[in-house]
Amino acid sequence: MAQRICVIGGGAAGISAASMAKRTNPEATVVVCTEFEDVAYSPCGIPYVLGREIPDFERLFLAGPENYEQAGIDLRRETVVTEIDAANQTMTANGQVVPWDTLIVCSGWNYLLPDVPGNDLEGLTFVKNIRRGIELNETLNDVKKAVVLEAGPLGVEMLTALAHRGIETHLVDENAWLLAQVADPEIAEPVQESLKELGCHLHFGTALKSFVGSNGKLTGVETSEGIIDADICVIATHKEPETTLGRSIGLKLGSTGAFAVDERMQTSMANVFAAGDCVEVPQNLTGVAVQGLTGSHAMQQGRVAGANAGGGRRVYDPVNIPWGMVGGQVQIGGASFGESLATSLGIPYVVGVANGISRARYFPGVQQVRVKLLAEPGTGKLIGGQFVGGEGIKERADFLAFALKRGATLEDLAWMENVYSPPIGALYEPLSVAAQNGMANL
Amino acid sequence: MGHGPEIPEHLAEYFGHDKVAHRGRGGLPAAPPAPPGSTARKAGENAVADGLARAGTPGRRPGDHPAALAPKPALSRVMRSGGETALMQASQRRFGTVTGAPAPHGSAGWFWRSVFAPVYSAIPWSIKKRMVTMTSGVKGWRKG
Ligand SMILES: Cc1cc2nc3c(=O)[nH]c(=O)nc-3n(C[C@H](O)[C@H](O)[C@H](O)COP(=O)(O)OP(=O)(O)OC[C@H]3O[C@@H](n4cnc5c(N)ncnc54)[C@H](O)[C@@H]3O)c2cc1C
Repeated sequence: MAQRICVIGGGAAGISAASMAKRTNPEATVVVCTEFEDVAYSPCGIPYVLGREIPDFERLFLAGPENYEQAGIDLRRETVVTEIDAANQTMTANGQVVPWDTLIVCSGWNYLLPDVPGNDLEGLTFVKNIRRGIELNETLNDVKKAVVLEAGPLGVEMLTALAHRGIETHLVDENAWLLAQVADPEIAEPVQESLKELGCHLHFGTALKSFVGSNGKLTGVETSEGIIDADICVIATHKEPETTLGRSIGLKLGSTGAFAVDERMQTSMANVFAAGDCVEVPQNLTGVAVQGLTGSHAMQQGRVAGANAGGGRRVYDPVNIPWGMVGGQVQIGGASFGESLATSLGIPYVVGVANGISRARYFPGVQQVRVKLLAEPGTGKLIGGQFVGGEGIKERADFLAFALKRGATLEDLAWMENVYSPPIGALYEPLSVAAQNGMANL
Repeated sequence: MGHGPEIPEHLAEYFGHDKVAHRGRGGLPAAPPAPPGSTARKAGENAVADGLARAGTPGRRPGDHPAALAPKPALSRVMRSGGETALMQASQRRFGTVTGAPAPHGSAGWFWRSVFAPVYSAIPWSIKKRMVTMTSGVKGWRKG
């Protein structure tokens, strides 16, 4: 009998897992269940439609459900899996029992709900799936004041979007600066200034106390510094892994609260794989488990899980986590450890810093780029870095992540080759200059 | 692009120009939509029509409250999260002075801040590394 593969989840991880499973084992029946109405769109574009940089939501769709039918995948939308029976290898989806030989759990994440009074008021706003994003876009027309809770990547994108829309926007974050989990303060500073110039009010070192409202509707956000009036509060808190179903069958969780998987993305149970933001994977340099990475990580993990579920043999590599984004008018990014994060873990390091330029000094549009690299004392082996500037940040973050994966040293970067072409790159590559400066500190 | 005098020059020079950093609202041509008749175009049009029809109407919808309290955590998660919060806050207090950032709002708790963080910082990295991989590492993976 043909292998029966079931996938729970139609996000980046679930869809790529299903496609890869079908490609690996074309004979298999592959069923995908998602509780949402849509698949194959980019959630990452939602903040930019809300901010009116992209004219409409239609453009965020990459394919239609028919494409999956054509590929032989049984895609079931608006279908909630309520139960898994591991002993009999079945799951219950919209009340129907669906048998499986191999299960792939890609149930993703939810925002961590702040455990404070008023967290059920109307006006608490979540940006997750596109259909609700379309509805939110309409209601934003009547919003005058908004609070964004926490300055993670989604929070910073929403801050920019709401400010672009002319809404008085406040950020509330307990941390001392923006993107504090990954970025250093002097790297975050230009982004913060740019957001302030857009009109955002940044409240760092400030704790949420409660949501206040009347008649069930939010009217303000009470913080350790006082009450901020608000029509909505965008919750952009930590991505909490959605593990309800997996826990019910005893799948093992790791120290982040996400599913523990091996390098083949297999869970603690035979024939059950998992991928995406509901799993944890090791950070390359330390082996420490990390969770809630990015859509591109979810997609790659889904491919690995799908290939293995279909009978292939693929392994997922420990991660160096390249990241990057635009806040206000400034690009910011990096990979692995910054100085603040390395210090908190107690990792010894030396620093190499450089201020460089993105194009030839004389070329129109030339931008400053600040590079900060961290390396192991003595050996010079890279342990991370960060960038901020007007352009060329994503490419450097990707490059650095690859260099980290290959165990490159400051010396390797100090002597690297680079492109010099006036409209797109300067003679001196800022990364290389930072590495040269860092070598002096080894 | 010119900036207001409130932006210090040493920071303004890192600001992108319009095209790169999305300041060109309306100033840049939009990327082309999916081709007419394509499945992507159809899916997009259906979703938008349905979303607009439902906007402002009552009723529960899939994914309208994608938020959850964390389930009761296992000991390993409690330990990790307490330690991490205290250590990151100590680090933020130290590095925040570079830019005059405010202190983080302390919520790690007395034990983590006053006992765990100072003791942890006194241990050499080689031992700490073993500690963190033992308590917060993964199993079944080859080394990176
Ligand atoms: C607004 C926004 C902006 C983003 N921007 C970026 C970006 O710029 N770059 C980037 O790399 N990533 C971005 N992401 C991606 C994001 O951060 C995650 O990494 C990504 O969503 C993880 O994908 P996933 O498939 O693991 O989980 P999810 O996207 O959470 O998908 C989970 C799926 O599981 C389904 N599901 C869960 N439980 C059940 C159940 N019981 N029954 C049926 N179905 C179920 C859900 O319906 C959903 O289809 C963005 C996401 C959002 C929402």
